[in-house]
Amino acid sequence: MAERREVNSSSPGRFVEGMGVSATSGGDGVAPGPLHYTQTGGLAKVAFFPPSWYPIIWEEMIYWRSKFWLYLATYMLSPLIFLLSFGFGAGQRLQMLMPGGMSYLDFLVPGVVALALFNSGVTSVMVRMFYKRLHFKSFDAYRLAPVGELSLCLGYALTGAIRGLLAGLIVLVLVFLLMPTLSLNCAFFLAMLLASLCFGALGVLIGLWLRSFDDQSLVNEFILVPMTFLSGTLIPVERLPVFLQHLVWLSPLTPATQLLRSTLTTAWADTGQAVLVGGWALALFLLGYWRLKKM
Amino acid sequence: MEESSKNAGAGTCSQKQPAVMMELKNVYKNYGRITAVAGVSFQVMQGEIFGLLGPNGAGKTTTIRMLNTLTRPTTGELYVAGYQVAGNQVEVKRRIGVVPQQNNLEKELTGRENLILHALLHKVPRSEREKTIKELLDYVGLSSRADERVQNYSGGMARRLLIARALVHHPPVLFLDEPTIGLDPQTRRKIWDLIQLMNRDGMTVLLTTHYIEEADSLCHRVGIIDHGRLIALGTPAELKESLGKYCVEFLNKQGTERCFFHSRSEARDYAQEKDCDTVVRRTNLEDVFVELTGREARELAAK
Repeated sequence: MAERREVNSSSPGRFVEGMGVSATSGGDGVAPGPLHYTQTGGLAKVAFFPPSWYPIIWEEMIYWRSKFWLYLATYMLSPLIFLLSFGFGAGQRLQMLMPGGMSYLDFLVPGVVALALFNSGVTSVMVRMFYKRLHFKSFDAYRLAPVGELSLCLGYALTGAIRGLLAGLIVLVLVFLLMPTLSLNCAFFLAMLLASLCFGALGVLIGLWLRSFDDQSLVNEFILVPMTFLSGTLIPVERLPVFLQHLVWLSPLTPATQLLRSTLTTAWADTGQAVLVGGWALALFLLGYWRLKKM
Repeated sequence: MEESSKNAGAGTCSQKQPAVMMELKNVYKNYGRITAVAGVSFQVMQGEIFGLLGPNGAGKTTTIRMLNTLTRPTTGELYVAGYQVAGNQVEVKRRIGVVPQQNNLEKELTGRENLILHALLHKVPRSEREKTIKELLDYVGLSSRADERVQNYSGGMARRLLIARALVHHPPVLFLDEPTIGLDPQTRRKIWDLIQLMNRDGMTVLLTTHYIEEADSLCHRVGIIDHGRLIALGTPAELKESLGKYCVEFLNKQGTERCFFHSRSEARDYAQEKDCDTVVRRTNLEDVFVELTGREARELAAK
């Protein structure tokens, strides 16, 4: 049987300073008196690089490595359906909905890119956080690490943003195959980046609020699906019923879509829309951070 | 044999005054109207294996979660490794390792990747990362399976990997919540060996368990918690002696009865007076647990 060391349970403690197990074990006597505590360190050295949010991205990349083809197929399918059904299918008939004689296909492309950023960015991080928090409980392991809530939120928001961006880029490749004359510009890619950060932050916020599978269904039915169809992605906001035309501006997808559309058609960002998307991103990120702090 | 080795240990260490590694001072935790922890106070000394026992829903896991920063107490003070938990969460987290009750490893990642992830989270320097992970995999006997996905691991392997994960950043304090639940006897003994090895290296361990013999054989001191209150605290030997060193056990119409005596002769005399089959044996920690917390199963009592 292994040797057991008895510990004097009734004696007052002594004060020791040290770093790590080996440095603190077996220190000898100190005068009795008021109770003191041992201050001990974990690692003697702590690396300052990489940043605290990096492990969350690193884990995401490992998942990518193992499921690359599955993700690729998933990200291609729904944009392809939207492009074929709305763009090349009903596109001619939907032309009459266009304000100012704009081509419906030109209108649709930034909308489908926005949808790809939105669906992949929000859903991936929301589902990942939901399962980690409530099913696998592995989110507790992150919360037990010396990583601040700000870094945790940032890490997850960035994973959502990266997924969204990759989905958006895949859509662009598809669009090029179908419309080789499409011209892109830097402002459009910056708008994609801003929008994907906004949707990553939204995914974190929803992922932190979900309490059950029922909640997930409610979020899908009452938030994600209405946002998908009513935020000016497939149909111009001006063609919605009047009360909805105002209501849809409560969705961050609406200014994000308008921003992508303005950069693609004019090569310049609509500053007002860019500020709106940036404001949404900041507000959603801070709400997620507050929620995590309260947990 | 066991008693004598404990006494010998006590003799060699009696001059030392161990430092306090954890302390709870009058800690309460309420969830709405339910009080999960009601005024618990105790200390855990440096180099100690401290066991927290209690029936289901007694408040053990809540107590551990408050110490490891996951749950905030309603009132009261907690100290870990020299830091007050409130306001110093990051400092506390750097100094603790936690082995949870549920396997919360990343199932899609390999064993090695799980350890790398935690080394990254704890900012283990790159120069030490690989060496530490290799040593830990050897330590828990998983080197040959390190590059398999965790979803293919057995319960015992996952438990050993959870222990390795908790040690990646060399914490001086380790929390184990039901470390051997659901494991076969062989694996359970391997985990016991690991806990004793870690403690021999100077680590302070706080564990909760339902297996009383586990606490009896591993823990230097034990606290019994029930309905959120600490109802007994001491070494296993002290707790057993408080009841009586010897137990006479017999079956009657009400079920199994146990009577406790301080000497063997008293126990034997009492057993001879009974007109039914009796067993005279040493009191064990389970006797203490059942006497203090009652005989009724908690799930039935709740109904």
